[in-house]
Amino acid sequence: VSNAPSSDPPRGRTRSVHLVSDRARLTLLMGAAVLLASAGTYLLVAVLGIQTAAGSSPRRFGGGDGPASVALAGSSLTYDGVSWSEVASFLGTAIESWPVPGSSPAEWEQLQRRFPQARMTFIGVSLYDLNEAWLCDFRANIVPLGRTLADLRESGSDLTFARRLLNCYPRAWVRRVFPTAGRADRVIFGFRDKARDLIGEGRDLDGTPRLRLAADYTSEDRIGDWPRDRMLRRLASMRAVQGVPGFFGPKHLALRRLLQQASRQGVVVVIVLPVSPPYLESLIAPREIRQFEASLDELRKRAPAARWVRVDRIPSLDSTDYFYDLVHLNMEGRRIASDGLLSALAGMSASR
Amino acid sequence: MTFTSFEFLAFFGIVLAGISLCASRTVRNWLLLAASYAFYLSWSVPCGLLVFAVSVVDYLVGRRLAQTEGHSARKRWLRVSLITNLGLLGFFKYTGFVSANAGWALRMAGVDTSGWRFDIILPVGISFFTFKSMSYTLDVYRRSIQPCASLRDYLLFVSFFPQLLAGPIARATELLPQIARAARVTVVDFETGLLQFGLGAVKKLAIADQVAGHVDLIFSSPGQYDALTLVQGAIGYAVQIYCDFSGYSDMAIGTARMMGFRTAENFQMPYSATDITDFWRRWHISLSSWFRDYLFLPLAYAFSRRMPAESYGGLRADVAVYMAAILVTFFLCGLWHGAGWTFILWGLLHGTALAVHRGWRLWRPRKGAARTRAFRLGAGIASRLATLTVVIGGWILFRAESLSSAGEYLGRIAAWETTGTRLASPYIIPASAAVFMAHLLTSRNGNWAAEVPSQPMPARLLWYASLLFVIVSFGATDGAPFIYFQF
Repeated sequence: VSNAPSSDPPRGRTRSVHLVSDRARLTLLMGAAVLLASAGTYLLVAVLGIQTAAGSSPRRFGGGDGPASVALAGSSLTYDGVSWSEVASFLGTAIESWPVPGSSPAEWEQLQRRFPQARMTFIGVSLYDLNEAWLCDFRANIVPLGRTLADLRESGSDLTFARRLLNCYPRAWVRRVFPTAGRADRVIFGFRDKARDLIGEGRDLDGTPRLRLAADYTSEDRIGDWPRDRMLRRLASMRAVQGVPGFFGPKHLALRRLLQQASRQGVVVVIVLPVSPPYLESLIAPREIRQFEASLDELRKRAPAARWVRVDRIPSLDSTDYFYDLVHLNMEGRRIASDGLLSALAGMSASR
Repeated sequence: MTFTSFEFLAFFGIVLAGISLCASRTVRNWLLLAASYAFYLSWSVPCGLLVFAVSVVDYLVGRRLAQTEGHSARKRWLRVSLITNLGLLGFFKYTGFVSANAGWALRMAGVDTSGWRFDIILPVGISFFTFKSMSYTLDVYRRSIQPCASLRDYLLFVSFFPQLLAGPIARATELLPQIARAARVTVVDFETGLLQFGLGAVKKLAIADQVAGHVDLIFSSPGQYDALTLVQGAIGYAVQIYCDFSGYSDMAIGTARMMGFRTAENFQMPYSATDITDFWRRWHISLSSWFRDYLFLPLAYAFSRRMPAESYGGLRADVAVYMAAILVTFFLCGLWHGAGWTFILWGLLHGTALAVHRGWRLWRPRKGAARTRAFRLGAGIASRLATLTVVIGGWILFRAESLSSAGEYLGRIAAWETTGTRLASPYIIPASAAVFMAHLLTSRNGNWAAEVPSQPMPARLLWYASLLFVIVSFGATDGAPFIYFQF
């Protein structure tokens, strides 16, 4: 960019005496604008309580103060779907995990490395979080770029998906300056919740919990009670973020490695969690369900020692009465799923 | 690679650095040409050959036109260009549509067409680069401009990356002299361009992409919703398509300006139009002026030569000529936008509205009460509302997935169906309010990108910081493709 005068200098800008050149002045102006906008986004994050970091502190279920020997890996579906305190009581030992909202095997694999002493590992999976098109917001902070590149190459992912996945990394760099970048939904819903707080209305969960992680969540909401417009809005939001589902990409490779590593360390229990009937009917095609099952079959063959508990096949959970949103089990659903898991664990103990 | 991607920002940074280091025009143009082809090849390698082929044919035709004196010989050369451009456009864009309709007609006649299958990939931007290149040969044919002397400059004119995928359809008279001149980028150019790019990014990422999900939801099954929700969906689409396409145009113009190239505005607050004619002076200006100069005016001239100066069913000959020419022009304008009956109907709706408006301008009352201020005010408001009704109603045809879907959508609104789901979109309602308030409250002919750089430093700082803040706080994460890429 030269300092040559424009053929039509704008009105009001004097060009005669400048202590700094126009170019330097513009650079300073842009720098100041970036600083101001950055300060604004940090303020917004603080005011709206937007989560900008994850996976830094472990979470412990049950047990005393001694070291835990059981690890748990999963997304919010796993934490909400099972009463882990009850499982810890059943096992008589503490369960430890590093929760990350919206996470998937790609992140769990990295977090699992922090827990080499685990002698037993629970891994919660579902059609929702194994979907390759759904990307964790914190992926770039947890999974090294080299690992992602290697997985993209090995899985033969197409260019569009690869671009989308790799874009997480520059976005993570941008977030150091602007922590709201790529988090527009949370900003919009944060404003809405603030407004509701101000006028004294209660918050609802239409949209906000997408990246929420609440092991102690106690909702007794049922999506069966939702009005139709709310259901349609949630399906539209979900459709917009999840893309075209696929199940044989980097997440699949990461889960395979995670299973193999956990199997080498000790006992592995994979819990397949359900998603709600409207989610299945509206957002997942039968062909995609077959692909999901094929990916689980492939994993079973790769890690034959792992035990599988199909909570998603408990017939009574196939109802809108047991979900508080499109993918998360509510309290009643959690009770049924926990009972299912505990009886499966009891069966495993008996067979040993 | 789209304007809102990280790849583009990196690519553009390299291009900007490169051209700022280039002292010579020759090197700068080679660099821009290489960058433009790299940009297009990132979309499709084979289609890059198509851009090259079109450019070479039209460059050679331009040279031959300049060397040829005979009228019929010049016409023949012009035909070569038109057949090449329109032939390619027709093949890639309309083969599927024609074969589907022919297949339907044959099936009606009892012919089995189940084995017919045409899978033709539509090269991105083909409607734009063929029109751009064709305007050059038409201008050379009319002797409005001299033919381009340099093949490199002509290749750059057609493939100039900010305008390649979805316009604006810059004319040769506008862009070729800037390519030929060793223009230097000034600080004001850069600042104006950057601001316009930022405004475009706000429109695209913070508005168009945010409302897209709920608009898609409503249009995907109009039978499920009540009339109020369907109206909301139509207004939402009006907002989406405006912010998507004018946002794209702003980014294209801003990108070009940051490199020292000036391009005319493509949108000028279209929803503040006082009437439908005014709307088309404000919406996709580069295309509407293209159709006006290269289709409507020649058609009107041709019709007027063939139609005797007498009355046509009560219409004056000049009015009949206007109406015939405008209907043909907008039929083709609809077809240009998409190979489908919904687009054709959309074009005909606008053509009819323009013809009716022409009639109204001729026959509107001008005496008595019509001269009062109250009448003029009422007529002005009615005109704006009628314009918005036609435009938004037209968008339903434009967006609908099929004719039957459009019929169902419009039918439910016309019958004011109260059965069905009512959806109050938290995206569409605030976005529509913001866009229509901006149209109401700001200058209809203003240009923020040109005005802000002349404001005092604190005001400029506030502008840039606000733009950046809005983009990073409200911008969609995975931007949807630009709507006009499909054309």
